Amino acid sequence: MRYLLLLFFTLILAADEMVRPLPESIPLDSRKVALGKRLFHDPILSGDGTIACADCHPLDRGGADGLPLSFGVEGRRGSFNTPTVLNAVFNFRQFWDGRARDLKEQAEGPITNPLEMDNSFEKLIPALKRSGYRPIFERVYPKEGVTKETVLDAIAEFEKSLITPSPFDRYLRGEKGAMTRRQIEGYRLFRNKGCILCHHGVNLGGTLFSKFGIVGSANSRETGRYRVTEDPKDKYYFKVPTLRNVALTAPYFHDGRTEDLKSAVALMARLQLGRLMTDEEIDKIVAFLNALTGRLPEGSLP
Amino acid sequence: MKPRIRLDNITLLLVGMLLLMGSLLAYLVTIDRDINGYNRYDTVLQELLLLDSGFDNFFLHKIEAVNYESINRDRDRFEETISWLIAQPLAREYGAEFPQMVHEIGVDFRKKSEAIEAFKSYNTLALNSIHYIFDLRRTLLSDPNLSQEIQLHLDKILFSLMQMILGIQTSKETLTRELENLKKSPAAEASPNLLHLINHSLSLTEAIRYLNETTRRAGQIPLHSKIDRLKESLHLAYERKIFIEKVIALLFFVLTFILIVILIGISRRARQTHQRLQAFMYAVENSDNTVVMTDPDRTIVYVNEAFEKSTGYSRLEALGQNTRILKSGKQDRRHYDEMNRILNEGKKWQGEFINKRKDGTLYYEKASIVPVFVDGRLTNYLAIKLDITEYILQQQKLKLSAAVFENAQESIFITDRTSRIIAVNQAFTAITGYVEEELEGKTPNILKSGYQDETFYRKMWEKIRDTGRWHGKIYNRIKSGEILPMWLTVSSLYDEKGNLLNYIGMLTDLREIIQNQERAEFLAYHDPLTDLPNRAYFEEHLFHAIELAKRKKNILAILFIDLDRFKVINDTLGHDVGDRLLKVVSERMRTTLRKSDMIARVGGDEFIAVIESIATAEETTYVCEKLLKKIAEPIRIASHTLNVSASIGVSLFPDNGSTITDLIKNADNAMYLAKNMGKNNFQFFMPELSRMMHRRLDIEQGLNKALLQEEFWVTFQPQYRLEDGSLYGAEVLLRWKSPTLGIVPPDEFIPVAEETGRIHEIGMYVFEEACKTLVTLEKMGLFLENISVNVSSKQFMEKGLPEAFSERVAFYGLSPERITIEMTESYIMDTSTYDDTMLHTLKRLGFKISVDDFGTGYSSMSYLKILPIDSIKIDKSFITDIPHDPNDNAIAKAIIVLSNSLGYHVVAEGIEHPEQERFLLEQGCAFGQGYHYSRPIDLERFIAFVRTKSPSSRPLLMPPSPAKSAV
Repeated sequence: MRYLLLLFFTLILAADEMVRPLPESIPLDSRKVALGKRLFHDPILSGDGTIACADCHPLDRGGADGLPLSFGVEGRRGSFNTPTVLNAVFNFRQFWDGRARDLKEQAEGPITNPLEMDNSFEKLIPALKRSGYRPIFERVYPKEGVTKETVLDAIAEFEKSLITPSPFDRYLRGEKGAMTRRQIEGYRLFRNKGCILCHHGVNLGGTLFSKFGIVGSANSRETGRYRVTEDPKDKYYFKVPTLRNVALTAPYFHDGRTEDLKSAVALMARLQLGRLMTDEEIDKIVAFLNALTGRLPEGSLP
Repeated sequence: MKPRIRLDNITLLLVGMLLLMGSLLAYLVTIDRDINGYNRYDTVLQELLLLDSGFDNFFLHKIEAVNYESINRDRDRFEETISWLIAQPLAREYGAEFPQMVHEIGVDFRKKSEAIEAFKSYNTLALNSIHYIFDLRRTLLSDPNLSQEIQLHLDKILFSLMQMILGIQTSKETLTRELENLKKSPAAEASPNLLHLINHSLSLTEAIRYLNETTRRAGQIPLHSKIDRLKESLHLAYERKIFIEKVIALLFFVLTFILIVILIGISRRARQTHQRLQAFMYAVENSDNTVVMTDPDRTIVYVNEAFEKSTGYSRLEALGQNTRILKSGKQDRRHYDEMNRILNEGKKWQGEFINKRKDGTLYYEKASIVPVFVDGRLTNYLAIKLDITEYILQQQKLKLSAAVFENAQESIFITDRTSRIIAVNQAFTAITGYVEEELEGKTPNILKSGYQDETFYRKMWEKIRDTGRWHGKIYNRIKSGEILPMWLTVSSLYDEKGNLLNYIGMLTDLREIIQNQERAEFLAYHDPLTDLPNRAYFEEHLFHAIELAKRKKNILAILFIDLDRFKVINDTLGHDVGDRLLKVVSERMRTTLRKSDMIARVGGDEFIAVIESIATAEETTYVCEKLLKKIAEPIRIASHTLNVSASIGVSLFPDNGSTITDLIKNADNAMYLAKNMGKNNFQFFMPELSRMMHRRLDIEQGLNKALLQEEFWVTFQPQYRLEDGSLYGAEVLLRWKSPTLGIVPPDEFIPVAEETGRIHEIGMYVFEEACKTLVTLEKMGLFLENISVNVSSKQFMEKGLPEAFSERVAFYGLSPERITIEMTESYIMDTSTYDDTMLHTLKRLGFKISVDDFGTGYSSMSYLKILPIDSIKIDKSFITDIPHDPNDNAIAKAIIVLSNSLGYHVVAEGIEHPEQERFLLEQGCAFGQGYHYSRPIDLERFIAFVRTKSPSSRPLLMPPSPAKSAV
């Protein structure tokens, strides 16, 4: 009977392929991408013209600024650790609390957030028109011209282009040598220890909300999804973030509480998995996580 | 004129049909769009159902490691679809309830989505716990520190967990209690792994509980049924909508179909109309009637062939012309004004035109003009005209015929083919007395007199049948019952095919003709004035009488009767009186003679009678006396009482001739004899009479050369004054001594000279001799106061006689007053020969004029008064018996007194005794001549006589006159 039980559980765990490699390419409008790229790097989007998207999402540094909490205009401090913009397109929701359904919705948030860019489209659109964007917009969006919609669309289109194929993807596609033995072992542990239960999908994350601190309290100040649904059951539920380029996006968690990856994995094992993991196991997992660091596509940087 | 754009029914229908078809097409497109739209909706909803099934299916994957990407994707898809649905105009398309339903689906979807989210979290949690428990259990199994009891306990707990996972009903409280108990057990405190296991199991229990609850909650969300309901409702709405749309489309189709049917009907009708129109056009084109169509300005827009024929204008010439080109001007303005008035009222006008052809000739037309209105607007005038020129001419001919028929002198009757009278003319009525009304339906038998038998009529009809004509004399009984002779002409009248139509009968009243014929016959043989037979008739009769007398050895007496002095009566009292006198005398003579005797008028006052069957000449004497006696009875005509006498010459057959000519000539000669015998007597023809005629011829021949052979000479009868017996003058008398005839008295040769015209030269000879005598006397120193020359009335007929006399007088240097021109009384009174101007000319030239033989004619003194007369010679017959015959005395006395009172000299002729001279002198007669004074003497003796008788007191020589000195 004992073995019967084991078999049962084994069957449960022998689930379908939980991860998939990044797609080789996704259909894009290059002109929109170009426009979005320019906007992404242009501080004109902020209320005082000081902060660009790229200021909090430096593409050359994993798409996040490396601060626990980012600074907005006039040095205002934001509420969340900046999530990476890379591969964000594969997230089922945007923001930590998942309040934005997609990139376009997301892009609107920081521009109008008083703690971030503190701007309004009433101001932004004329400003953009004044600063020479008009002909570009009219070329790219002959019908609409410069509008909130087209600004967000262009930015979103640019962000879609920010996908970073990694050694893990090559591995998944059958290139066994793409990852080191240690990284492969890490991936095995990643799966067997249950990490993969949350961090799955193309982005190894970004597919569900999960309570931060399942086994024990995480002592989080932010209540996460509760802010959106106001359902008590959603308290401390956050979007499971992607693990791609995680090696580059420290500090970790929504409040940037952990500086290094190893601590972050340990914290996850303790709070989420509710199990002890050996250092060896954690190191292997960290090694695997490093295999998730990808390469930006050409021309993504200004 | 600005043509108004109008839409007719067909155009409207076509436009309507096009609109309808357009609408139908648009509607079909709409329906298609609706179908596509619905299909899209249906597909979408089907997809939603599938997605929802997927969601429901997702909840079955409890405690299974799942890649949530797929469910996330499905959810996104669902959400997008819902958003798309919300964006669709469902309310407009299918009803207001649909957006609400979609909205509700959205609400339920969000609930389910939240449930999914929760499920994902709890499932992950549960799986994590199971992972750990599975992992840890393997560790714990190999943990020797754990007692068998604990091991079993754990197995028991795990089994319960497995049951729970599989959904097998277990007591959760029991498990929880078990776990709590185990947790408090020393073993748990001793083994952290065990504690973890217990915690995880508790957590798993909790997670499963949540999962179940979430699944249950999700299961309660009626998303699927709502989608189903929406799908169903949408389907129903769609069905309804499509049904309505189909019905509407069907209606459109039906309407279109109806319109097409109507259009086909219209088209067929139009085709029929077109065909009918073509038939009409054909009829109009080939009509005998002239058809002209004009626009409202009377400009010709259409003419047919008949127009071309009747006007001479070709179609091309006529089109575009005004109708006035046909005007002839023979009808006055009022005719056209009246026509225009009626046409302007929009009414039909009918009448006649006298129009002019292209070549200028006139023709008559009976016309009917209609204004044509299309939709209340005058568009055309249509004239239909018939050339009635022939008809008019025929009518005129008919009128003429009728007039001829009515006014014909011949009575005409017309019957039908069954001989029933259908018309008669006035002349017929006039002759027969029957008027047309009485004769209607009757046959000409009504006129049957019965004079002709049935054979006559049968032959007449046979002739009519054979030749179509009959004419002949027929006796008819007229209305009054009188039977009249008539000339009947019957003609048959046939039509072109030779069928008998009528009989025409012409009756001529023969009465007048017969009368005229009789009259003509009568006139041919009778004298119209006296109704006595004429000469021709007489001669014919005489011829027969002679033949008869020859056979019977009878004697015939032919009487030639001539009225004495009838000419004078005629001239003085007029022809009317003369005619009436002739009639009376004729009647007297006719009644005097026997019926068997014939008397004929052969000249003005000449009659010839033949007395037949007489035995002796004495009988004739008796007849002649009786005739003279009867004629001599005074005749009163108007206010005149006339005494007429006659001279009758008688010749006898066979003694005086055996031919008509001889007998009549001899009677005529005998009549002359009677005349010469003093008139009012009768004479039988004698052989001497014939000798007289021969002598007359000899005289005539002798006269031809008498003047040349100087066989004439003159003698002088001296004239003297009764008062003192002194010589006054002399009358020159002509004497002729023919070498063959000897001395011929003037009474005998003068009439012959007058008849032959010799009188002119002989008269001129006498006049010259007179002049010469005066000249001779003067040469001898003797003076004769006056010399008288007899001038015959025949001489006066020569123009220029007075001038010739005057020239001679001047030639001899004589004074014309000394020459007296003597003319007979009968000349003056004979108006047929008397020339009044001649007398006046002579007088003007200075000659003296004297009237010879006065008293023998019918002279009236009052008549003489106006004539330029110087003297009158009383005829010897009045002088002879004075002073013993009181009658002659009275006459002589009256003439002298009257003449003196009128200033005329009176010369008495034939004074033979002294007592005659004395009587005349007493009565106041100034001059005289006769044997008492001197016989006519020749020139020598006359010269001697003048010498002795010349009064000594008178100068012998007249002082020379200027004219005389000129000679």
